[in-house]
Amino acid sequence: MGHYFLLLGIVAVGVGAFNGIRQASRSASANFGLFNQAVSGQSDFLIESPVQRLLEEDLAKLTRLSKEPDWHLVPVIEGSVTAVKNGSEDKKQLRLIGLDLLALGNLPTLAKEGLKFSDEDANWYDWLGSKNEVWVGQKTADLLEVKQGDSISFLASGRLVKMKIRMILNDPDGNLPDDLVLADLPTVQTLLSRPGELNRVEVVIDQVNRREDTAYLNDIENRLARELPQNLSLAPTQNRAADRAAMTAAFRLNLTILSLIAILVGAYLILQALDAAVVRRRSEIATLRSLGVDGSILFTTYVLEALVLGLFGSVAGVGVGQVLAFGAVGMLSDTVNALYFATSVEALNLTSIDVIVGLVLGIVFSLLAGWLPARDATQTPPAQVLARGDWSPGFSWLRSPVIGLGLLLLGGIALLFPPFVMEAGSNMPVGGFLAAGCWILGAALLSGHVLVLLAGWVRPFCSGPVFRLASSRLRDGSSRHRLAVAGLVVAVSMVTGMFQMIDSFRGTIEEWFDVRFQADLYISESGVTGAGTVNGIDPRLMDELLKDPNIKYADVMRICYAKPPRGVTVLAGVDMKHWSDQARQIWLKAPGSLQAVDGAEPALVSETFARRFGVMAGGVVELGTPDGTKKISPFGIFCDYGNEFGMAAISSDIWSDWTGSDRPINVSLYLRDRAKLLETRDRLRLAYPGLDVRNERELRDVALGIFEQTFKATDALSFIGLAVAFAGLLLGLLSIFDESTQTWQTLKHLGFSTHGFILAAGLEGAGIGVAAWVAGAITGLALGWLLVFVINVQSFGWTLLWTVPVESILWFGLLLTVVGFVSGMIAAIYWNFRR
Amino acid sequence: MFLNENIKDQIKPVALSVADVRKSFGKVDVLKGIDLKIDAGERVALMGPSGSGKSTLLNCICGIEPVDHGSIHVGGQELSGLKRGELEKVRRENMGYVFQSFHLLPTLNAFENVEFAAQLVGMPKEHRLARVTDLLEQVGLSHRMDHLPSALSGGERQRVAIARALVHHPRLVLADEPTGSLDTESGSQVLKLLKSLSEELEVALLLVTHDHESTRICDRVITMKDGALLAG
Amino acid sequence: MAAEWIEPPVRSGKGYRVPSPDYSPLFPRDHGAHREYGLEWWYWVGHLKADGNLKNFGFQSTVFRVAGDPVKSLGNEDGLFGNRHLFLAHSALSDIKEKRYIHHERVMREGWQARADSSTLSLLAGGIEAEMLPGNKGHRLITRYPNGGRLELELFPLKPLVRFGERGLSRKGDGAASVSWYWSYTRLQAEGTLYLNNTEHKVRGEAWMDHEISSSQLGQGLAGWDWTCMQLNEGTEVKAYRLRQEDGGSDRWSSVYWIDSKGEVAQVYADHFTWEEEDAWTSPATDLSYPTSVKIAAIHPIAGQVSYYLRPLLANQEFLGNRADNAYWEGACEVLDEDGVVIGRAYLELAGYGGGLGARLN
Repeated sequence: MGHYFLLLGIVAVGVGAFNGIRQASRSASANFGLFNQAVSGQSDFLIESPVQRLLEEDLAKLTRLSKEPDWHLVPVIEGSVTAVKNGSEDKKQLRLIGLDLLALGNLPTLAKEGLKFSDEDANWYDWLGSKNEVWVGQKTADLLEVKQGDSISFLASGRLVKMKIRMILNDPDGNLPDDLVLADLPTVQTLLSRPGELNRVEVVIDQVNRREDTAYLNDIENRLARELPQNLSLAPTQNRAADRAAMTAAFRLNLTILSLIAILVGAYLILQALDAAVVRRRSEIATLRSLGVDGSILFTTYVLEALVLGLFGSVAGVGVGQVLAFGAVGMLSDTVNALYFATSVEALNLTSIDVIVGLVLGIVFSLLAGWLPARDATQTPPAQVLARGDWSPGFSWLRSPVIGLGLLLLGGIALLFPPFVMEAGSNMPVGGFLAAGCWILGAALLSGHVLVLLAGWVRPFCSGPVFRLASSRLRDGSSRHRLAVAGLVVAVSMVTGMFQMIDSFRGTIEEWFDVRFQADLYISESGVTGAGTVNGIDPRLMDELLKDPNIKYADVMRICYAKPPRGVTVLAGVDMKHWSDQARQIWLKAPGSLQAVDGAEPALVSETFARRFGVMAGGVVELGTPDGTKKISPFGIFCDYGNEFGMAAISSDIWSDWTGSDRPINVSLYLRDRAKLLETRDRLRLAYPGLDVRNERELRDVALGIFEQTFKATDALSFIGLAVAFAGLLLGLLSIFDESTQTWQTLKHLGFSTHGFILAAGLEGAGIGVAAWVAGAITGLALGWLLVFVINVQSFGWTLLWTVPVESILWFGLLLTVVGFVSGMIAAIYWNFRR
Repeated sequence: MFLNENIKDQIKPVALSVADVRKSFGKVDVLKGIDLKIDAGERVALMGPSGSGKSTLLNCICGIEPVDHGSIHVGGQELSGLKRGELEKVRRENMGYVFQSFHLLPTLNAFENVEFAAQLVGMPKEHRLARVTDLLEQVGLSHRMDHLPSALSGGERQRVAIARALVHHPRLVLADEPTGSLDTESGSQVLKLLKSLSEELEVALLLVTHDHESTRICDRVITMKDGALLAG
Repeated sequence: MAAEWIEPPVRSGKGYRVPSPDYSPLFPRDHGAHREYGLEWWYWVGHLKADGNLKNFGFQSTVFRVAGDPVKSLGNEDGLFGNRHLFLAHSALSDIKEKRYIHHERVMREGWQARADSSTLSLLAGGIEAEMLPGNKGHRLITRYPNGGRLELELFPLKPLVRFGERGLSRKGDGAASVSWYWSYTRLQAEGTLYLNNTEHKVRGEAWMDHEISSSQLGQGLAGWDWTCMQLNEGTEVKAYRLRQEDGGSDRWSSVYWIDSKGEVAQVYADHFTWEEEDAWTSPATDLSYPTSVKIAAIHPIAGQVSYYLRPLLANQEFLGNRADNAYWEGACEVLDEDGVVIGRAYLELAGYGGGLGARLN
């Protein structure tokens, strides 16, 4: 019975890992950066500019549209600020949302809920336009340890400002994220030093009960579109959700595939366990056969058992998924923040689709796993035949290397497939994933041979009865031994592959850092990390800072989003002369090695950009900018690991012309007197508390910090995969001992000690661990190569330096051996106790 | 010779003594005061219908089943009161066991199966190899020593099992229906072997059987019925 | 009919300017906003016919301006998100034949979607737009309704503008500052187009426009008011209001005004008229009960005893604001005489039956 609970648990963890990741990644990127919707409610359409920045003159052009009572136009400005807790070093990055707090009262949801911004009804307007008042939800207030009326310091756009908490917003349903700060729109413009700027205008229809009425929505959309200024675009909000979903699609698919491995391992285990059940009941089955019970009945019985197991396991798995999702969601939102766009966690919600997907996956895999043992059961001979001697079950396919070798070959062929281009312009390395799948499966099938081979080598050196027994059993390589190794190999190869990719990534980034970052000091907005926060520094503040006498040269960088034909990319304004001549880069194609096309703006582009838009050998890319569609043409390609959307750098003045902005995102300083580096750094830090002033070492630490963040989810999945695999090892060993009941009885009669039995079991476990490690590490090396040279290049567009973390792999091997040994002993003790 | 030589010199020539052994499972009294003595080298056949308590008695004798009352001495050693490790020691040093369905270790070949039992009592290697080879020769299997049990016939397997039961110089060999799974010819070969080897090695043999033919190799036959011995 | 004169202060308690007596407005400038004063509204109601008199409509379009801080509010707004003035826009249309009442409210700050010019009539708030027509012969009013509905009217005065109250001040309570400049076009010829349910209707009719400026509108202890403007078929108009005290009585400054065919005004105060509730309608939406059928009996300074019976043309003309406590009834009515003969049209406003409004506008 305990056996079955363990089995249910394994199905549950497999399904749970898959579902948990699914839910967590959805919730982590569900709000798609529309934080204001926590306050203003769901919007129906978005009015945006290609660079996600609107000017008030754009808004003025929308006045005509604002007259219609059928909708509400909600202008939004958002940015990030860093809260500095009074009297402490504790900093917390927050989303600052600016909305027209008065007009909010017109919105259908707010009118209904009566969100109040002030306690005193009689002074209902006095908070309008106040320069220093903000509103937060209870969660944020708790986090910042503030209450109504308290002051709090923010670092915003490089400045330190003191704001007053006007009121804690009433949020009975807990919809407001814990990092949300709300203020009146002009207040936020001032706070972020972005006067006259907005991010977008959201459109909320007035008759929210007609949201399902497509014809009505189409009509509204047409009416909006008729009056829309040329330079702005209108799209249903759900399109943005779809866009954002597409942006992270590759990332989420990667996670999903990883989490599927947990299910795959789980299925192995079910197979193993059901097969063990068949073995345990072999004589019973044989008797039934003698009595003339039809094979198909036996088959149905075992398949049904798998079905029940799958069903209950999946139901439990849906629950486990919820739990895992709770753990994973924060991690994933950090990753999404760092890699893609600003997001905050939305409440986890379990949809009926989740339940269905979980159940279907669990049941299908369980059925697949149940099929082989069921077939095995039907092949059991009648009792009289069985009694004549040892009868060995099928699984000849596990003993034949043909299928395994075939899969390895198939994987090799899959590498020739081109990547699949997804909606948002990101690439999905289908061939790479297919190859990975084939190789893992092939290796799993062949791992039994590795076990037998290794045991054969070791056996001559085994002299004592315990070692002899263990090695002879391993060398014999029963189907169940092979299955146990195979299950473990899947997890081991996955983890080894991941180790390598992460190590390669880290190594590459370190190398890139050494070359790329040669300036003395780096300055950016305080507290801001990741791709999701393009806030920038107040240009006036920057002008002031650059007057510092010790600055010889400042490499100022400005960035904004630009709209290529597909997806989104980053357009940077830089000092082209400095970038081409002085600034060191890892050049894939040195400046000048490509000829910029006449009539297009010459640009230095990142490898990712070049690969995405097919300009590795030069050419033109059209980008939507606030100043209309512009052409750029690369004359050099540099390596960059910042984001997967790619970056094109053009000359600063052209950038300002195109964007109408001169807001820097960061600046690299070269000093006159490098001996005074620290002194200069400290001076700047003191003068500009809202800016992060870092030297190369400090910058590297920050960047690697982001890097580690990014791989948290991967680590967690590897851990889950391993945990499932070890649970499986335990289960596998139990089945193996069950199968060997007669042997243990014999040994008992021979006076073989219990200690000897436990030790032998431990050795068997260790042997399985070692075999899985050897087969898994070899597969893992191949997977590492695949991840670095195929999957990363195709899906992210960057080439990494392949690093094999030999030491980690060796330690991992040791760990596997030890865990295998301990698992063996635990299984034996449990088995012995159960007898 | 080996350590049993010393013991052999010291103790009385009684291999097994069972005194007033009682055992019940729940309300069912399976053994109702059994008294039995087997001298060294003596062969005793234990007969009786199914359910008469033969197997339970055997299990009590080899210490796998504790008794409710009475005492069992194997090679002069009282079993009751021994810890599990001590019982295992008595079992592996003083007893040999032959099963109806052979119970060879399937992953070890014939030689290794026999050697395994010798290894368990810590027999030194040179001595062990010679002893195993010698015994397998005596049971007529010197040409099949490196075969796995699955490659051997039933009779051959049982002969390996006999060799294994004797390899460590036990005081007592318990044989539970050793011919039950064999054809007549193989069965009589096995019986012959048991007789000759027990004589040669002065090992007591308790042979549980249904088969009167088997009792021929024994010095005496005792019959068990409803948990009691009928004749001695 | 003269009443006690109370000299208003220059500034209200909150610091806004208080309308001064004997002010001579200059138009079209004074159709514009008066930013120094705390509260101001532009109000249009009217009865329209369309499709060869087969359809008739009532409409109400109101824009309120509420000043914020009295000192800051003087300055001109900069930027698209002002913080010195708020605008409320109330738009309602009564489709008498279809028995439909559509309405909506918007509250906005001065800026990109709401503004009122100070130099002429040029208003924009919540879908209501008003501006002078070329040559100042009249003005244009555009009101928008849900589902793309829109009423575009050109309004031409049939009578000169009327300034109510003694020395040009309309008094609403005993508080010294409870006075307003209250200017009305009591009869405007209205013509234009109504777009409703994707159908275009040519409409014609008559309208009434008020423009009232004050800084402290209602006196203390008032629960609300009942107000009506009547356009009688004989070519005269009557305006009457009852300022309801919390104890149920009428404030002494409640008034009835008569505007004769030449535009001359006669007035009596509370002691010369009664306002009797004859029937009430209970709103299914708010459960509030509004006395929508009333009898107003007054002693005209010259003609003596007169009675007007107001009957709603549509029962449900309840205006629901964004805030639940802001509901009032404002609707198209007909005016009957004692014999039950229709003698004119009216608009009737019943405010403060649900609480909030009076307090908010005070």
